[in-house]
Amino acid sequence: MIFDSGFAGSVSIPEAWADRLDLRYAGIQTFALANGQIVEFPTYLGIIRLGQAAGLFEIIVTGEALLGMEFLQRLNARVIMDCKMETLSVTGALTRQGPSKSKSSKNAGSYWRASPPPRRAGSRNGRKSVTGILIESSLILEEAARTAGIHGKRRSNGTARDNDQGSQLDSLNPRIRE
Amino acid sequence: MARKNSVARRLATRASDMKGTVRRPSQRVLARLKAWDPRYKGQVAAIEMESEEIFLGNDVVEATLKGWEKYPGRAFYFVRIGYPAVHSHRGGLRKQ
Repeated sequence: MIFDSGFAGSVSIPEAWADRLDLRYAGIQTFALANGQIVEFPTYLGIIRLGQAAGLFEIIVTGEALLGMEFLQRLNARVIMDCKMETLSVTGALTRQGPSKSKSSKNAGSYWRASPPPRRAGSRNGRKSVTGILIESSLILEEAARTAGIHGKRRSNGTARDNDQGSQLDSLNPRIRE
Repeated sequence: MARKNSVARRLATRASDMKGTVRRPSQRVLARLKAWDPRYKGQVAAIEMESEEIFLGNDVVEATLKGWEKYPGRAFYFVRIGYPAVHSHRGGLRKQ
């Protein structure tokens, strides 16, 4: 997946990925391209899981797999691009690691992976890095649609995320049924 | 029972059901949105095309969920008030 700072939306995925996921159609939204052209894309809602945390995001289906600025904004993410080391690290309000490297390398199509951040940066912020994002296929359950806003509830499986960073991401979550 | 039915309706709205159904808002709705411009600039409006009802949210997800409270499973047309498009993309998306 490409991290695209010029993409103001949330997540864009190719049609082949969308066919594998159980996304819920939300409608049509418009995008302004660089040449001023306005194009319309079908928009879906889906839950994106980062490690143990998950949130409801808009997903558009195009020919490309992109992570946009709105996605990172909702995660309160901090992106560090190291041109010397050729790494991109994303730190955010997360407390748990994403899928293991071995797993993500086997399923490269399903995961977005970023290089691990420098240890110094992570320890300074007291946050762990995101190593993977899995777009999950169980979506828009009745609680999510009934919830008018994006007000968080802890997951019902009792996953422990008791510090402030975890609760920041929780605030993104609709109520999720396992 | 009623809750189960509402879930079934919502889950029935799948991507395959909605392909090819693009409807754009009427000039009357767009004029209403234009009148809201100073007050709600930057908010995302989800327009329900049958009733022409408008649901506002800070982003597409919030507007959709507000709309689905009243019209479960319906599709909306999204507009960002005060802007020509909901989002911008400076790279160039390839439309399928």
